[in-house]
Amino acid sequence: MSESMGLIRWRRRFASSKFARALRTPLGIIGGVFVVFWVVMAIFGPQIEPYDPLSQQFGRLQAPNSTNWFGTDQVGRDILSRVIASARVSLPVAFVIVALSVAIGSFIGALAGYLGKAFDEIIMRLTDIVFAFPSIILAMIISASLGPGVRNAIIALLLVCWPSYARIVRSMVLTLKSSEFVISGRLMGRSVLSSLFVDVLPNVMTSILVLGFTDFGGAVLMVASLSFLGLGVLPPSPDWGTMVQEGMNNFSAWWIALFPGIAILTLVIGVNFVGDALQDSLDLQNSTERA
Amino acid sequence: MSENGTPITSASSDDDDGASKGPFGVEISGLDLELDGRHLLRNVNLSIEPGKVTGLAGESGSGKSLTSYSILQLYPEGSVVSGSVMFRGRNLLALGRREINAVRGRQIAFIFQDPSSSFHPMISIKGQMTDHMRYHLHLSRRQAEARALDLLTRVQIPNPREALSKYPHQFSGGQLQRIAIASALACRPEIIIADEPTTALDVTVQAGILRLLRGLCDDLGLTILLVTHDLGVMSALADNVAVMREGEIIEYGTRRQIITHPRHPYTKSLIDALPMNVGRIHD
Amino acid sequence: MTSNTRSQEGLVMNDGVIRYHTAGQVTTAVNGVSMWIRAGEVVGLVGESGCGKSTIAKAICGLVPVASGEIRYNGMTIEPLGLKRRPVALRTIQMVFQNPYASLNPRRRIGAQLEDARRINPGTAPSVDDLLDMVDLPRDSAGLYPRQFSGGQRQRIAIARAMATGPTLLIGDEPIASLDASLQSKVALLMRDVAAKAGAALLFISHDLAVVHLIADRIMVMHDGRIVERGETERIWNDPQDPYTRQLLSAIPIPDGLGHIPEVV
Repeated sequence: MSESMGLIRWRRRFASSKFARALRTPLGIIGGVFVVFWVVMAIFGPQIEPYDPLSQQFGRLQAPNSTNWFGTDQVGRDILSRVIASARVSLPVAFVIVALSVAIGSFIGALAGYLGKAFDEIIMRLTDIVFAFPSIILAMIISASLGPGVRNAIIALLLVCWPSYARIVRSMVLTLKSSEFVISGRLMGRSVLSSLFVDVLPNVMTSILVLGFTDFGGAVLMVASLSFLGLGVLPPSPDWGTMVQEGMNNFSAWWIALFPGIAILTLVIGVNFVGDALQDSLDLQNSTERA
Repeated sequence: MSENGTPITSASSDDDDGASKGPFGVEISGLDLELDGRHLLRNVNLSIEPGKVTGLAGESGSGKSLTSYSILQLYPEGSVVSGSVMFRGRNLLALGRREINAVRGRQIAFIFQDPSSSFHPMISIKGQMTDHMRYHLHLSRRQAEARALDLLTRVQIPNPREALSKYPHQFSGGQLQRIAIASALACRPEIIIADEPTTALDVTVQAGILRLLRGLCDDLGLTILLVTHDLGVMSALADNVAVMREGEIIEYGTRRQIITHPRHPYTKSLIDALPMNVGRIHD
Repeated sequence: MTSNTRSQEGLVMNDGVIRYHTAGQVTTAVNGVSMWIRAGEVVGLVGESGCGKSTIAKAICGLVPVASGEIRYNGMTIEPLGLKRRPVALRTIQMVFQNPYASLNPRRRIGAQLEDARRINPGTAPSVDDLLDMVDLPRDSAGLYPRQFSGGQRQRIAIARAMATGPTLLIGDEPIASLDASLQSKVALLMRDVAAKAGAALLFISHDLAVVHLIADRIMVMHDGRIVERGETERIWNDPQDPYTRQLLSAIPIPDGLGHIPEVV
């Protein structure tokens, strides 16, 4: 075989190879710091919060000061404590949404790609319908018709999110299923499902997980958006989206909306930076593994 | 040759062989290449003799392609290179980006293994052949077209005029490789580097391409560097052969000497592994 | 035809026609091919790209349907695989593919892939160690991933995997085409030897008549979807009758160091 391919391979392999190395870019480090910070906040929040996020023990609408670093809201709750407490809601909710849509979307998409024909056609038209609407509007409609609340927000966002994974996994499976090792497995008597779970899905999962991670930021935003509209997390539970909304009602008290806004910004940007870095390293890895 | 008053035909067969210029060779000396701590080429010395076909043989990973790419500074980013590649009195390794670009494709052209991936699938043959002629040779559209037509005739493409308006997928692999050769000839190069030019082709097509390359060397006085792992091809086409292993040239000699009386045990093992010779041992 | 159907043992293809439908166009890849492979035989199927030789391999494995005619193995008609599991009786036909970089699952260790293959062996499967010995790979290869091997080594692993299943018919679909010239004969001989030791028949598909000459008992030459000539290997090699076979033979460059470029008709 010619070495021209090998030449390109070397270039890529040495440029970067591992996930860890990928995060060593400046943006990857910044992103990683933000993400780790918010994960720590979500896990150790109760120990870190200076006050009870629900207790209305302070004066109303106080600007940031030495007692309440981020100020207080219109019923006298400490904003810093509420911003930290929100992480306990937003992160797990976003995680559940992404994890379930990755799982459901990948499985349905993989089946569609592998089985083809009518099943594929039905699934793809279903995804078309979902893609025909702006996702946040569709999530709003579903969530509004189910009624407000975290559980319904999750269901709404799931319905909106799974099709993109199904689409991507389907196209990856289409190329993989004619791959010689997959055929070889079938020749050894593998059933379609076994072929899918042993030979096909493990080979698309890394890319999908990285994609899911990148979408995590989007999920945080969507949850916050639904809460902002009164469809997600219900008051008095703290949530960045509802807090921003409260800030809208007290426009002169800038601190109410600013700090949860910064929280959303740093988390989403952090996730995106890390996701991009992972994506880059994955592209490199793929190009080194194929020949 | 690019004067405007000259009739179109003269932009073709007669003058493009560069009768005034003699054939030129390339002298690679002490070429060393390191990439991320891996020593990929070690003290490569190779004289590509003018007007001859020099073969560079070796298995994948031996560094034969890397050596040929290095002639035009086409090594991976981050390579640490030393040594020299002398061509017409200049060290190609020392040239700046602009200067080496003027050499690439113009004085030294490449032919690759897979002809179907060396063409843009959506652009007609005419478009792909005339583009770099107009850039490098400053030809008018009509002159470039006339020249393309002439080159296609020379590489024996049937119905060259029709072929010009076709697209790559409409040709077989062998024909496409002929067109690739025509394209490589477009800017009147002095050296052609052919990297596994027949490996992707059927054996009945291969002979035609080999004959064509031989003709370029004998009739046009071109210098060819033939990179291939196939010693059968090597024996058919190369005048001199260098054998590479692990980044080093381990043996160099005339075709006859290398194929029939290899001195290095590795060369001998390569020759013994050929099906014809394996057969001889087994019979 | 009568002579082909007489034998119930081994592989029989009767007047097989295989068509591809792509973008509204129908191409006939295999146009009325009859052939048979008896137990333990080494048969070479030679032809150039697009002649339909790989399509035949696919059809024998049930990966493409025959438009007309039939393929039977030990009396059992081979049906298109579709979404069904492959019938146990047909799992003794195994294939080694052309591209060594695509024929192993990149995410699984060699050992696991060999174990999978051993599991379907109807008799006693050779151990993973024996399989690796068989193809001259170190035994600790079992713990490694495909990317840690070169193309030639991967092809050896693919051969070991096919042999683990206890095949009675091994098909090599251009198994040496993407290997270095110095490895081609070695790998072809290896395939013949392991098949012979296990008593399996071998259908060796290649464009390289010189390599096929080295290993095959019989050769079939294919051109444009038909078999143009078939016979004993030495007869084909020394006394080809069909003009296409002659052309194929004369086009092989002979490594004599004389600079002789083959004549093309």
